[in-house]
This record gives sequence, C-alpha cells and structure tokens, in this order.
Amino acid sequence: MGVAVIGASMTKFGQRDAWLGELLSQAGEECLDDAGVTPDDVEHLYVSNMASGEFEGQTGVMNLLAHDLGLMPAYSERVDQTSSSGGAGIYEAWQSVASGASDMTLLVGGEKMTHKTTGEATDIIASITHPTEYKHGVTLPSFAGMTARHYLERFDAPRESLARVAVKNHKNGVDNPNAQFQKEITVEKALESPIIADPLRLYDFCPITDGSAAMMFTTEEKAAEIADEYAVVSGISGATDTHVVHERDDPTIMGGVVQSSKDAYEMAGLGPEDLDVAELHDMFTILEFLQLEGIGVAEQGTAWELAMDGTTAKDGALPINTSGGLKSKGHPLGASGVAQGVEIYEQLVGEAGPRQVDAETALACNVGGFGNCVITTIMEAAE
Amino acid sequence: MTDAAPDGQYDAWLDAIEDDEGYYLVCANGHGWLPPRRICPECRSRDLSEELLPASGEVTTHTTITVPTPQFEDDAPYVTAVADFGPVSITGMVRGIDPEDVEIGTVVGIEVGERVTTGDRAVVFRPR
Repeated sequence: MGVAVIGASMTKFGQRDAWLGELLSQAGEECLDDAGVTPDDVEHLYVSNMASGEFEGQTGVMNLLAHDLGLMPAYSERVDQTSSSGGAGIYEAWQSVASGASDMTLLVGGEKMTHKTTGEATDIIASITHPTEYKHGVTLPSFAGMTARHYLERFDAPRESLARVAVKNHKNGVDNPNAQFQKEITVEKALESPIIADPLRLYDFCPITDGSAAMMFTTEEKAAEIADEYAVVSGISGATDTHVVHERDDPTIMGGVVQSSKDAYEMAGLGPEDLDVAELHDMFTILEFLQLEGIGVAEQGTAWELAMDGTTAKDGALPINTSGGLKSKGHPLGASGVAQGVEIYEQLVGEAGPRQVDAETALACNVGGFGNCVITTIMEAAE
Repeated sequence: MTDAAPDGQYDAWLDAIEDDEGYYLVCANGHGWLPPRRICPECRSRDLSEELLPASGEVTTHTTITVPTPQFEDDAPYVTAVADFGPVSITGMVRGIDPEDVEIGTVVGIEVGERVTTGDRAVVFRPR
C-alpha cells in the first residue's frame, strides 16, 4: 500500500522553558491542524525519543501524548534508536500504514536537553557508545575528531572544507524561523573557534537543543481524497553497522548509510542522480562528507570538494540541509530525524518559504550513534 | 553504566593486560575481536579462541579532548586514540607523550592505567 505524508510541523528549536510533554503536544497539535485531521482519525501514534528517562526522569511519554492530544484509544509506542529515533519513527509510521494496520498515523519526535549542563548532556549521549569505548572517555565528539583527522590526512582535504559545511548550514538556517541559530558565520570565525576534539572546533558541532517535530502519514488513496498537496514515501530502509567504531574496516565508510540508501533507492526505483534536495545528519561537519559519499552522490574521499565548489549550497546543483541542518537548526535527538522529514516534505509540497528550492525528489539520512544505525528515507512530490 | 560493578570478560581482559598477557579472540576464519564476544560478527562462527596481543600497535587516528564529560573532568585534556594491533584495533587513552606529538603511525604499547577523575581502570597506550 502506498504511503503518503499529508501534514508536518515543528516547534521552535533551541533553549525552551517547556518540558518534553508540552513540546510534543505543541508539534502534535500543529500537525493535526496542518493535515486537516481530527484526533478521532488517528489510529496509531509513534513518539520518537531517545532519552526522556535520562534527561527528565520521565518515561512512557507516548502515553502522555496520546492523552494530551485526545487520541485515545489510538495505539501508541515510543521509538528509540538513539540519534536516529526520528528516522526510525518515520520507518515505523510508514510500516503501520503500508501494512494496513493503520489508516492514519501521527509521528511526533522530541527531546528536552538544555536543562542539563553540556558535560551532563554529552555524557548521556556518550552512553550510546560501546562499553569498551565509553570507559576510555570516548564521546561522540571524540569519534568525530578521530574520523576527521583520518579523513583530512588520507584524502588531503583542506581543513577549510569542514568550515565551509558549517558556514553553508548556518546560512541556510537564517531562513528557518524554527532554527536554533539564525545567524551567518564566516570561515574565519569557524576556523578560529575553540578546539573541542581536535582537529574539530566549536563550529564543527551541532548544539544541544530542545524541540519537537511531527508528521502525519496516511494511504496514498486517502491522501488523494483529503489533501490538496502531499508527498509520497517512495523508498525507506534502515541498516546497522558495528557498535564498536574501531571494528570498522574503513573509518570513513558509514556502512549503515551505504546499505540503507542502496535499499531505499532500489525500493524507489531511483538513484543518487535523481535527487533534487537532501537533509543529511550533520551532527558534526565531517558527517556531511561521509554521508554524501555513503548515499552515492560523491566518490569516497571527494565530498569535501562539493563544499568548496558550492555544489551543496542552496543555489547549487544539489542543495544539502536547506533547513540549516542539525548544525544550525539544532539537534533535539528524537526530533531531529522527524524534522528532516518535515523539511523535505515542505520542500516537496512547496511550503518551504524562503528556503524553497525546485524539488520533486528528496532524501533524508538520519544517523544514530556514530553510524551504528541509520535510516534513509526518499520522498517524492505527489503527481 | 556503573564502573564499580565487575564487568565479566572485559575486566578479565584488563587483568590479563596488567599481567602482560593481553589477548584477543579469534574465530576459526581468523577474524580478531576484543572480549566480550560470543559470536564472530563477520562469519558467525562460535568457535573463538584466545591469542596473545602483539606487543605493540600503531595509532591509526587520535583526538585530544578538551571539553570532557563530568566523568573525565580531571583527565582533560586527554588523548583518545584507536591503535591497530594487527588482528584487532583497540580504543584507549594515550599517555607518556605530549598530546601535540601524537601522530598517526606512532608506535604504542598497551597497559592498564587509572582514570584521574574516578580512579576506574582504563586501557592506556604509551609510546614505545
């Protein structure tokens, strides 16, 4: 059964006073309105969230949301796939409709993080690494530092190319009213910012963020009946790679990205050359290069050239992260993959405002851990 | 995760390194892994045996952490590295060298050290 997306929403990302339940409710309510759907219509509810227990001492958030939105007796479930919980939620929502189990599925992703110190939040996130790594002070930023050093030295890529990813995504974020940062930065500013995990500096990292995002899924048949504009999920897949990062044969190849995108292309009957726009998981600038190579847009060791020559800019041949990416929009763990879906949906139905590009086919790649688990989604504008 | 609680095969592995008898696990097809490991993820073999770790490895990549988590507050700045010991790669902390002098290719030995902040044991690489 073909699956369509008929509505999307997101809250303002950033430092929010509201706690998770309130953020989820806000995005959920706005998504109901955007889709023109009443709470009675919703049969399944999925809540993408990585760590509400660790961040807030609150578990069972899907039950909280089902009640807050008046969705009872809809089926509800929380989806945790670390940083790719949002993408995994898209996969679950797609499955629920494609299988015939639900005719109307609401997906809401969210995380509340900023009430913790940077160190505390980094430690909660670091707990997703393998114990043999976690015990040695490995954090997600340290993986990024080690991978970036390896990539830059091996492929003779200039340090500036990473800064250009940050500059591009910050520039895109200026046009996103829901982005945490709506401020341009310069290459010089990025290159002179404090070192966090060398060779990476402050502006190579996404911020710690509160926020929520939501999408409404239904059958293509129903979408054609009730929606003026909608998008179709034409390809979707998830894949895993080694949990221990040092066990990978090549640290610059994200196996989960390669496999999930290959499967998603096959399902959609498309290839990388068909993409008009994409949202990639730029939790760290280096990840944008690894994913461009993983999804087949660039050969291994060459994606840095696309940041240097403007190919991935909003006015380039393949705009990447028109939303501002995790880098400037922010990264509320469980919400991020859903927010990627929101951006490509809005691009496909022509609702992206000043960020709008000409797009019929779009891809979102949501990465969990340091590539431990990945979801790739391809959506197309309905004909 | 509580470091105070014993961690089965992993702690036994650290004990062995402390006794200069560090080992890795290898399956019938020669795929090397660190413990704990019951099944070879590569070929699904369950026939794993212990082999002695080579005396030294080479740093394949490294980073210096200047913004630590609370558990490593007093350790920072510290160097985390992946070292290639032939059949296996290992993640650990590099000590006994100025962080700025660590390079890809630096030859290191493996030992067990203490984390400054918590006193917990950790794998330490030291230049040879």
